[in-house]
Amino acid sequence: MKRTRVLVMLVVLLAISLTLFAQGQVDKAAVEVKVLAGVTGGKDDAENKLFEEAMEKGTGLNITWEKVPSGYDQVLMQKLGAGEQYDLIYLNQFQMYTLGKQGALMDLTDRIAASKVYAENVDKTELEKIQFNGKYYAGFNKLEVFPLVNVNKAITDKVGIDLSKLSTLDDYYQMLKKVKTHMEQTEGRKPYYPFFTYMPDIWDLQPWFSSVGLRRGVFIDANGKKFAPYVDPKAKVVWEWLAKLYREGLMDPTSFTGKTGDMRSKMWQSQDIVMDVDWAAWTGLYNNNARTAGTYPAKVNVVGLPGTKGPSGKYMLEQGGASLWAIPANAKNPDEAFKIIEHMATKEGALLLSAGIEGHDYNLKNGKIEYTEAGRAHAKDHGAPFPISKLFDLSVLGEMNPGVLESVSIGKRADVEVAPMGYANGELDARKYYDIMSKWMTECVMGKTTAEAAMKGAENELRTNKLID
Amino acid sequence: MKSRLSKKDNLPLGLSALNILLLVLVVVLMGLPMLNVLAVSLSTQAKSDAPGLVLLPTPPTFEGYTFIWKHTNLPRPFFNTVYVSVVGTVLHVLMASLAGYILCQNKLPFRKAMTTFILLTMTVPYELTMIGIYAVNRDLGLTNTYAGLIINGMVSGFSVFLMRNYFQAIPLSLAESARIDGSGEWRIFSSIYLRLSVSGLMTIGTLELIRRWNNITMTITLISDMKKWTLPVVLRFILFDQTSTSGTSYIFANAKMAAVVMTALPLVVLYFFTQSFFSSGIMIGSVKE
Amino acid sequence: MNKSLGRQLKKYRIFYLMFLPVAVYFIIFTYYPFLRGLIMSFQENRLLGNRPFAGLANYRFVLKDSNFLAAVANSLIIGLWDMVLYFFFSLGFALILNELVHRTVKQTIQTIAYIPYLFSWAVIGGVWVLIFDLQGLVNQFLSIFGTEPIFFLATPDYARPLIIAMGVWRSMGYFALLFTVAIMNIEGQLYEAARIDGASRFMQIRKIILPSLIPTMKTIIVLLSIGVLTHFDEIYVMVNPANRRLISTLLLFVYETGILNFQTGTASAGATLVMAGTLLITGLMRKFIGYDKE
Repeated sequence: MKRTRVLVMLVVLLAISLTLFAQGQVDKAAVEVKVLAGVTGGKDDAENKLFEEAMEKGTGLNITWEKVPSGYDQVLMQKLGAGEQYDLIYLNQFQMYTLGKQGALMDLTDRIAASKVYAENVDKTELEKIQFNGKYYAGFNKLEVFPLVNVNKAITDKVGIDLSKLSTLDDYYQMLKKVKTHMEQTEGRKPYYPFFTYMPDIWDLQPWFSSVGLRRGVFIDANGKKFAPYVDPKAKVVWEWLAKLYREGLMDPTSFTGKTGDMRSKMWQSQDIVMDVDWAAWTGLYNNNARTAGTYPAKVNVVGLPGTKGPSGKYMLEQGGASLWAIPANAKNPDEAFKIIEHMATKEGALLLSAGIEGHDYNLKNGKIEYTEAGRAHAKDHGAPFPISKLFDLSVLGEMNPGVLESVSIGKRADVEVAPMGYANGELDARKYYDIMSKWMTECVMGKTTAEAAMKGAENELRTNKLID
Repeated sequence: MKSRLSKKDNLPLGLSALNILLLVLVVVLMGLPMLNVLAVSLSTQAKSDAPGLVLLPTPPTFEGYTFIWKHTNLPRPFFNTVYVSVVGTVLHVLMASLAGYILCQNKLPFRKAMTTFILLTMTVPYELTMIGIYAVNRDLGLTNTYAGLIINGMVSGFSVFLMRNYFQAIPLSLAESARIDGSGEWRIFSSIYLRLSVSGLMTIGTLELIRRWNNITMTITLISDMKKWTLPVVLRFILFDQTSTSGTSYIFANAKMAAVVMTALPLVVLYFFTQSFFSSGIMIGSVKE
Repeated sequence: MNKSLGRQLKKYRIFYLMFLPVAVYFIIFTYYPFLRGLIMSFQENRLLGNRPFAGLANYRFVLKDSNFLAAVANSLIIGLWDMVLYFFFSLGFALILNELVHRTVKQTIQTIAYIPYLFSWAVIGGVWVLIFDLQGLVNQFLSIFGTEPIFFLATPDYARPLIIAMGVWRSMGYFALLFTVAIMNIEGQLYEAARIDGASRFMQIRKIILPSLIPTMKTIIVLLSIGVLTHFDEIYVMVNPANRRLISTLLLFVYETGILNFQTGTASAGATLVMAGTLLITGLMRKFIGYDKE
């Protein structure tokens, strides 16, 4: 008797709470756009709230901007894997391919084609770079820059080298040799290894393979066959050139074991190297750091160079993998989410993602930006240091780091091509490709095998791992 | 009663010397990296970023520390860490000793099955459960809460087995005679087993505290609200995320290492002092008369 | 028989009751997530939405991958060496530390030995790279004897020894603590009796300390055997193109092939295989040392 009554009461209670819960859910879901963001947003909780408000004001939507400042990839996997619903997620190009293939992302092709904002603000060539099987699964977070050759002109000037004349592998070889001789014999810095290249990802070798017109990654030819240009017989000269640099003490041995951070500090901090390949933005950061340390421009004056000229007369650089925004297949508010994607491509969105929030990061005085202390600390980066909108004028952001604009503008030169990475239409497991390539390249550069044998080895291993046909 | 070796016999001179030599070697080998971290943290910006190993800061400066102090709001994550670690550890020690006590009951039916049940949990790789763990915590409303950080890791096979090991050193006759005297199991557990295993409790407590203090994975899984971040996550953020490839702000090595030192220092001090407990805690032999 | 079991269960019911919270915790926070992972290993690689079942396809994919097979070998070599060395080094260290009389000195040394464990692998990896660099401390030391600098970090012969040494270096103080506590717990009377029998200190170590440590040794061996296949962080921070082939372990494979690529099925299948291997190793060890016998 008593038991039944308790049971009935429990059931009623449960039913009531469930209804309440469900209603609460519906009410909220109708208006709330849920965004999961990595780097884009406020730098801390308080600022992120302001960022969210600014985004709400810009789009007229009710937005929850959830920022995961650390370990984003892991959290993204956990949340999506556990069935969490988001309307908009931040991801990189690679993740876009993977999730696109798995059917986890909404097809945005029609929306992008119909978007006035995208037509006005986004370059066609940029848009093509994020196409996947002829479709679009994401919109832009920012404009990607590219790695290029960075040279410390303060040192090469001492040796009397005209940097503008460097365009072949041998030009660079001669330059490094002269610098090495000078540093070791005149300045007594022995041993001096003038060049650093980060081997583990082979991500900064493109300026050299440009000399034979070959690109990193895997591509699909007209017959649908996958191939890797870096193991093409034509590439042999570059492999051999790298091995020669190492053999003659022109390449820093730390290239195999060090981190990018080591490379950077050697560049501007101790001037242990005179040349590396690094992001265009870093040309400015090298100089800016040196300026803080009081060594710019007497000891450190880094300039960007396009590398080596290919057979077609063009310099070829490789763009960084895009950072993107996509709408998960289970999103509840795709229309609103796309509005946010569009807003980030506008001039207003560009200002928010670079300079930051008005009244917090900067104030407008006679139409000019004046940064607050917070704004200065955030260094014009709230997710997009270089916004995607082509209508956005970078100069409104004020003075840039010395040398950075010159480096970025190299990408716009007529004789320079900035190619996207060869992902073979998302078919490529890039990690595996890096591992195999860097392993064999290391064997070759360290002189353990000939370039021919290493290229053959790499090709075979790529094939057995089904990365190429 | 206090029969602990008050006067210890000594090794013969030769062995003694060898012993000291080995210990010096250990100190040098173990201390070197610590010295490097400390020296870099006390170097000037420029010196700290120079390539090569630094063992002595010349001249020493607190630049790195003041930079970190100004750049990040450290007290908040510090107190988060203390709160979550201390509460979590107390709970953990209680649960682990409880389970350890149960597993050392010789005649308990299904004891082996229970042992295996716990042992199994230690063999599950995190990579296999990472999605499920997030889902469970979300369904229980534990994401973005301190409770989540405390409850996850409330007990671990590792601590259970260590506690069982310490408890096994206590003669069963003690418990038997207490049972004959009419004591309940809770009483036997708390007034005999816990009392006699202070050094064991301190050990797993210290280890757990350190594990929690340094835990990054769980915090990242559960907490996206930066107000609830713990020190090591802030540290990782400073060390890695803020200086990512296209990053625009640059943090010098002295500040990074200062952050490392500030995170580890409380633990070093704590560890040093808890050791006196390890050696002077209530000894089994001293109570057994 | 049945009746007596029933009586036994009743007699011990308080213990089962006490075990309940622990069991509930593990079921919710370990077994349930594990089950989800296990199920995922039999499903297609799909992060979002419904995952259709794929039979053994993920296992087949993993087992066919040549990198996985190489990782098995690397994991076993590095893991087993680490296990053996962790054990003997920490035991040895605890023993020699115990011979020190001065308490503050003892505490200081033990603290220093423990400190490596307080730093993250990223920090430790950074320091090791500096020490074993071409112009690093080790090469500077070797140059006293006129040795040419050795490129430790990029020479395959040194790849595994370096990783193993790093593990030992970091974990020695940790496991030594467990031994130290056990040594402290040895009853004083035992020494007293031995002293009366005229046993030297060396004999005391052999006849009293070591036998008393056997239960602790067994526990530590079981704990260590669980860790054999789970080396990840130290590999992650030290891997480079010259040593990758020799030190890439199972969990690194799972991480790079599965997790980084959002291949939920591959990652789960790989991790399940790691778990199966761990169970095998731990089971063998448990039998071998007679852990469950009392």
